[in-house]
Amino acid sequence: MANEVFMPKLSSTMETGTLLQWFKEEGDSVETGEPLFEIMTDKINIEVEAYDDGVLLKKYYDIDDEIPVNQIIAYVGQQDEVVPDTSPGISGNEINEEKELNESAVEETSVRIEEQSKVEPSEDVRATPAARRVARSNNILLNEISGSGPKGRVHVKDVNQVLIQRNDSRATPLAKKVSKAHQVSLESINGSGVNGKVMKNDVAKSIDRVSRVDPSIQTSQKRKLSGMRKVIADRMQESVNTAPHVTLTSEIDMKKVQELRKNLMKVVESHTGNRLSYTDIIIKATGEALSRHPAMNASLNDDEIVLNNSINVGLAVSLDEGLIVPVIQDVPSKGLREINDHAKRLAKNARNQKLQEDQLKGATFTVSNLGMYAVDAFTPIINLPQTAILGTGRIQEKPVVVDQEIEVRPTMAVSLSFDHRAIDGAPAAAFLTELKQILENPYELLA
Amino acid sequence: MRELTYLEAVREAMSQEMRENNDVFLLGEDIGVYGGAFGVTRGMIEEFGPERIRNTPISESAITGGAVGAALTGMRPILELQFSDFITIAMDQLTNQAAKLRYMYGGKGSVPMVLRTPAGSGTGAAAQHSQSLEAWVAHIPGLKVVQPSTAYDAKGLLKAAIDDDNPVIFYEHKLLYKTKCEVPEEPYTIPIGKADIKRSGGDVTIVATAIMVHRALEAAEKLVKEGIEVEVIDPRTLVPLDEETIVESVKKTGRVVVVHEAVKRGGYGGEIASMIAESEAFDFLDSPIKRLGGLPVPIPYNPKLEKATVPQVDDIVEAVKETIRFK
Amino acid sequence: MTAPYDITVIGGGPGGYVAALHAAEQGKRVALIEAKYLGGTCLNWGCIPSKTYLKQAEIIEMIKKARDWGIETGEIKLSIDKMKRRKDEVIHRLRNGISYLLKQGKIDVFYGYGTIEKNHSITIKTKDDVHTIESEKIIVATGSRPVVPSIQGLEQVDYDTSDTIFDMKNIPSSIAIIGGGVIGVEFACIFASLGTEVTVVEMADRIIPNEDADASKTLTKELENKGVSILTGSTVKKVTKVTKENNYSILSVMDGNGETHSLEAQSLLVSVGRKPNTSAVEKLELEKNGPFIHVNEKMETTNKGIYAIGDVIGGYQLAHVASAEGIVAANNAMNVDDQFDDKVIPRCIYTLPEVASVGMTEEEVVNAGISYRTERFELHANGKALSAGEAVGFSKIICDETYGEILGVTLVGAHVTELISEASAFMSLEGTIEEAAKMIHPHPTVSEAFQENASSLFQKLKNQGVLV
Ligand SMILES: Cc1cc2nc3c(=O)[nH]c(=O)nc-3n(C[C@H](O)[C@H](O)[C@H](O)COP(=O)(O)OP(=O)(O)OC[C@H]3O[C@@H](n4cnc5c(N)ncnc54)[C@H](O)[C@@H]3O)c2cc1C
Repeated sequence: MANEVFMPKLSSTMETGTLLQWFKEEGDSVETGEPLFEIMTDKINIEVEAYDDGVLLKKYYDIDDEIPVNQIIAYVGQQDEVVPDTSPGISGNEINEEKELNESAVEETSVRIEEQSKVEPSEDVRATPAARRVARSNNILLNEISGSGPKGRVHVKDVNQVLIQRNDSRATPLAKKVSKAHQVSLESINGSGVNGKVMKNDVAKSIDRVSRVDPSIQTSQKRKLSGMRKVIADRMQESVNTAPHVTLTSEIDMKKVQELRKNLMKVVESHTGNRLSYTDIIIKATGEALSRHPAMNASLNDDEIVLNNSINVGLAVSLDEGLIVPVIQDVPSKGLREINDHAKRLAKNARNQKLQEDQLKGATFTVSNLGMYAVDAFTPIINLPQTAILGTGRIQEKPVVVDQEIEVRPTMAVSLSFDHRAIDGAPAAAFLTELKQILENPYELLA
Repeated sequence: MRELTYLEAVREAMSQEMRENNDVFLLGEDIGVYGGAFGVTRGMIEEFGPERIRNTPISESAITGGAVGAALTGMRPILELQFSDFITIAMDQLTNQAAKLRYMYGGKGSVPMVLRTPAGSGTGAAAQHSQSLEAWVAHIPGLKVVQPSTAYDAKGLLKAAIDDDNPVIFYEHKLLYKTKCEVPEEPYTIPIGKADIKRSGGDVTIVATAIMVHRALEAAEKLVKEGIEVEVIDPRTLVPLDEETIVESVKKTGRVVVVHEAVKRGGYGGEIASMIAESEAFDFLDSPIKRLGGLPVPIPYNPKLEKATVPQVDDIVEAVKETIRFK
Repeated sequence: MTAPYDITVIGGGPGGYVAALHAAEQGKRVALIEAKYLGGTCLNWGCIPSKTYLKQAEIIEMIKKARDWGIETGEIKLSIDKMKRRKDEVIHRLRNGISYLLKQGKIDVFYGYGTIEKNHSITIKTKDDVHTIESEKIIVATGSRPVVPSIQGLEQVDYDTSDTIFDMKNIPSSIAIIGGGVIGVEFACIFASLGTEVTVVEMADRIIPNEDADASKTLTKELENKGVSILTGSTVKKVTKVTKENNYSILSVMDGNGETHSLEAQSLLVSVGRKPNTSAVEKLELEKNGPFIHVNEKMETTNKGIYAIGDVIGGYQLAHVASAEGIVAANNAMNVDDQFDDKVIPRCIYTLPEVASVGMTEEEVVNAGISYRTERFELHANGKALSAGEAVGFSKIICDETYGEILGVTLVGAHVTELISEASAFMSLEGTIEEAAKMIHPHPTVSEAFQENASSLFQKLKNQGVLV
C-alpha cells in the first residue's frame, strides 16, 4: 500500500514550500527517518524525512517548484505498486481515483491532518462548568481559549486571561477616564455593559473594592502597572504562560574561582579601574559552556528553533523602575578584562538610563545573579525568545566532602531554567554539568 | 468553659433529658451495671434504676422492635447497639417498621426513638466491628441520620434527636469518644439538618463527616502553609442534608472534595457529589468533584493495613492539591 | 376554566401590550386583559391624540407665521369635527396595529375588568359574563386616570379631564386649565392655536415644575406670546356655575399673596395629576408606595409572581418607561434576570416650542452636591433654526467637572423631541463632553446646537484644566 508524501506545514503562516533538492530518486529504497527531500519555507530550509519504509515510487515535483502545503509530492510503497501519474492533489482529499489502492493511506493521513487542526467547535471543547459560565456571561467562545488543564481543559483562569486582554479595548470613554484618574487598570474589571463593556459604575465598584480590600493592610502607595513595569509584567506573564519551564539546580565549589579572582583582581583593576566580580567570571564561564553546547544558545520563534551563531549573554540589572537586561556581545571572544569592562559600563549606563537600543538587544542567554543578597537559590524566568536562563545565588562557606575528608568550601547554588519546548532535560543537564566543571576548574578559561 | 469528652457529652445529653422527661428510657445490651460496650452509660443505672436503664437480651432485632413498640405508645426510647455493624440484624425493624409506621398510620402514630451506635475503624476491631454503614439507613425514607464529630455537636444533636418525633439513627465514632472540647453545662439543641462550617476558606471546599472532619481540619492546617485556604464543612446530619450550606460554599470555591470513612463505592459521598452537580453550584465548579472514601475491602485486623483502607490526612492533602492544580 | 397561562397581563396600554408581546416572542403562553381599548391611555386619551391636535396647532401657527413671510392664504377655517375624525383615524390605525401584533403573537385577549383573587387566579368581568383564568405569573399594567381634586363647587359644573376633552363638541371661546404640568401646557398650546382664550392656573411657582427652570422660563414666555395667561403660585379655591346660555363657570383663584381673584371661563380642564388604577389588585395585600403599587428593581410586587409596571407604580408616568418596565417584568416573569435601569430616560413635552430633556436637571445636580459645569447655546445662533423661523430655544448641557460626564441635557425649540435621543445615546454609551464636542454634525441642522454647546463647554473646561 503506497503512502503519500506531502508538503509539511512547518509554521502557522506557511502556505507553500519550495523544493530545493531530492535526496532520493524514483526506485530508491527509503527508510523511515531518512531525509527524502529538502524544502525552503518563508523562514527556514529544512530536510524532510520519510515517514515510511519502502521504495520511492513516484516524484511529482522538480527542484524549485513551489508546492502548496499538504500537496502530495510523492509516494513511498512496495516495488511495483501502482500510483497515479500526476499528483492527486491535496493529501486527504476525496477526489482520489485509486480509492481502493489508497484506502488505508488516506485514512492514515486524514488522521494526521485532524491532529494538526486544533480548532474545535465550541461544544466539543473541554472546559469546566465554571469556565463555561464565565465564558457564557461574557460572550466568549470557548474554542478561542487555550486551556491550561489536562488535555487542554479550559478553567476559569484561562477565561479570565482572555477577559483581561479584551477589557482594555472595551470600556466606555467615561469609564476609561475614571479608571485613568484613579489609576485602576481596566483589565481586571468585569464589564456589565453589552458584551462585557466596562462602564463607569464597574470602575467605581472596583475602586470601592480595592479600597475595601483589607482594612488591616495599610497601603501607602498605589502604582499603576505602566511603562517599564507593565512591559516586565507582560513579558514575564507571557513567558510563564507559554514556555514550559524546567529548572535544574546544582551546587558549585567556588574555591578555585575565589583564587582566580584574587589573583586577577589587581591586573584587571589596573586596566579597567573596576574590581573583577564573580558575575564577570560566571558570564565568561557561561559563554564558554554555551560554545560547547550550542543547543542551549537557541531562540524559539513561533515553530522554529533557531541556533544562534553568536553567544550574547544578557545580564539582569535591577533598577528602581524594574529589571533591565543589557547584553554583552560575543562572550567567548572576550577575555575577563573585557567582560569586566563591558559589564560595568553597561550596568552604569543602565542605572543612568543611558543604555542605547542595541545594548539591550540580541541576547541569546541570560544570567541573573542575586548572590549579593541572602539568596541561596531561585527559579529564574526565561526571557523569551531565549530558551534558557541561569540564576546564581550567594557564595556560602559549607562543609563539603573532598577526598573522603570534610572540608569547608565556598559553594554557590546555580539554577538553570530552560524552555522544554526547545530543549530536553538531558542536554540541559549536560550543559549545567559542563558549567560546573568550568567553574570548579576556572583556569581552563585562560587556556 | 469546662471541657467534656464526646463520650461524656453523649451521656450528659441523655441524663439531662431523662431527669426532665420521664418518657425517656434506655435499652440495650449490657448498658446497666457494665455501662455499655464503650462505657457510655456507665453510672446511669445508679441514678435512674433498672426500669429506665434496661438491659436486654443479645438480639438487635428485639431491642429495636421493642423500642419501636414503646415509641408507638408514646414513650421516647433511646436504644444502644454495641457496634453499628449489627444494625444489619435490626434492619427489618428499622426499615419496615420504624421508618414506615408514621406514614402508614396517616400521621396518627409516630415513632419518636433514637438508635445510638458506634461506628468506624481504628480500634483494631477488624472486619465485623469497624464498618461505617450509614449509607444503608440514609437510603430509607422515614429515618433521620445524624453523625456528630465533636462533643459539642454530640450533646446538642442528641437532644434534638430525642426531641424529634421521628426515628433518628445517631452514629457515634469510636475514635472520637475520647476527644474533648468545650461543652455548655445546660441542655441545648442543635437543629437536625444544619451543617457546620468548621473552618472557612476560599480555595477548596471539603465536605467531611465524623472522624474525617478532624482529618480534614488537620489537612487544612498543612495546606494553609502552602497558601491553600480550605473550607471544611461538617454536614453533621446526613438526613436531612443541609444542601444550602454546601452549595453556597462550592459556589464560592469552585472546588470540592468529599471525604468519608465509609467505603467509597455506594457511599453517601456519592449522594453529596451528585447533589452538588445537580445544584446551582454546578456552574461554579472549576475542577471535577473529588471523592475520598474507604477501599472496597473488609477492614483488616493488621493496624497498618487498617489505616491504609480509610482516608488519612495525607490523602486529603493530596486530593485537595489535585483539585487545585489548575487554579 | 381556561387553560393555564404562563403570563397574564392586566391592562393593554404601552406597558401591558409590550410586556405581553415580549413574553409571547419567547414562546410563552400569554393572556392580556383589557377593560376598554387596546393602547391604553397613551393611544386613546394621551400621547397620540394630544400629538395629533398639537400637529394641527403647529400648522395653524405656521399659516399665521407664513403671512408675514409673504405667503398668503385666505381666512383660516377650523372644523373641529374633521380634526376629531383625523384623530380617531390615527387612533384606529394604531389600535388595529396592536391588535394584529397580539394576534400574531398568539396572545389571548380578553375584554373585561380583571381582578386578581387571593389565590392568584384572575377573574374577568365583562358586561354579561364572569369567568376565571389561571396563570403562573401576572403583570399588572392597569395605568392611571386623572385626579380630580376636591374643589368646592367643582362637581356642580361640567368640567373636563384629559379623558373627555379630546371629544369636545365645540371649540370653547375661553378655557381655564387647572394644573400647568406637561398635560396642562400641551392643552394650553392646542387651545391657544384654536383661538381660545386660555388661562393656566398652577400651584407651583412655575409651570412644568419638574423640568429645568430655564425651560419653564422660555416656555412661559412663549405661551404668553400666544396670548395664554399664566397664573403661578395660585390655587383654585372655588368654582361657581353661572347660568348663562353657554354654561360659564367662575373660578375663585387665590394668588401667592393670599388675594382672591375671579376668573370666568367657558370650559374648565382639570389636569393636576394622575392616580393609579388599582382595582385589579384590591383583594391582595400589596405594599404600596403612596397610592401606587410598590415594586422592586425586578418590577415584582411584594407578592411573589405578581409584577407591576407603568403608571400604576408611579415614577415617571411616561409611555416609554411603561414599555421598558414591561420588558423587565416579562423577563423576570420568565426567570430571565433583568433590572430596570432608570439612568437614561428622556422626557418630552410637545408644546410649541418643544421641551425635551434627559438625565438630571440643574436643580437636581445642585441638590446632589455634584460639582458641575453648565452652559447654554441659543438657537438664534443656529442657521437651520433661523431659516425655519423657529429660533426660540436653546441647548443646555450639564456635565461633571472631573471627567466631563454628561449629567443632564435640556433642549427647548422646534423638533427637539427628535433630537434628545442624541444626548441619550451619549449618556447611555457613556461618551463624555469631549466626545460630544468632537462628533461631526451635519450642517445646517438644529442638531448642531448640541454640538456647539458641547464644544464650547469642553473648550472652557479644557482651558481651565479641570478635566482629567
Ligand atoms: C393627555 C396625556 C398626554 C400624554 N402624553 C404623553 C407623551 O407624549 N409621552 C409619554 O411618554 N407619555 C404621555 N402620557 C403618559 C402616558 O399615556 C402614560 O404614561 C402611559 O399610557 C402609561 O402606560 P400604562 O401601560 O402604564 O397604562 P395605561 O396606558 O393607562 O394603560 C392601562 C390600561 O389598563 C386598562 N385597565 C385598567 N384597569 C384594568 C382592569 N382592572 N382590568 C383590565 N384592564 C384594566 C385601562 O383600560 C388601560 O387601557 C400622556 C398622558 C396623558 C393623559
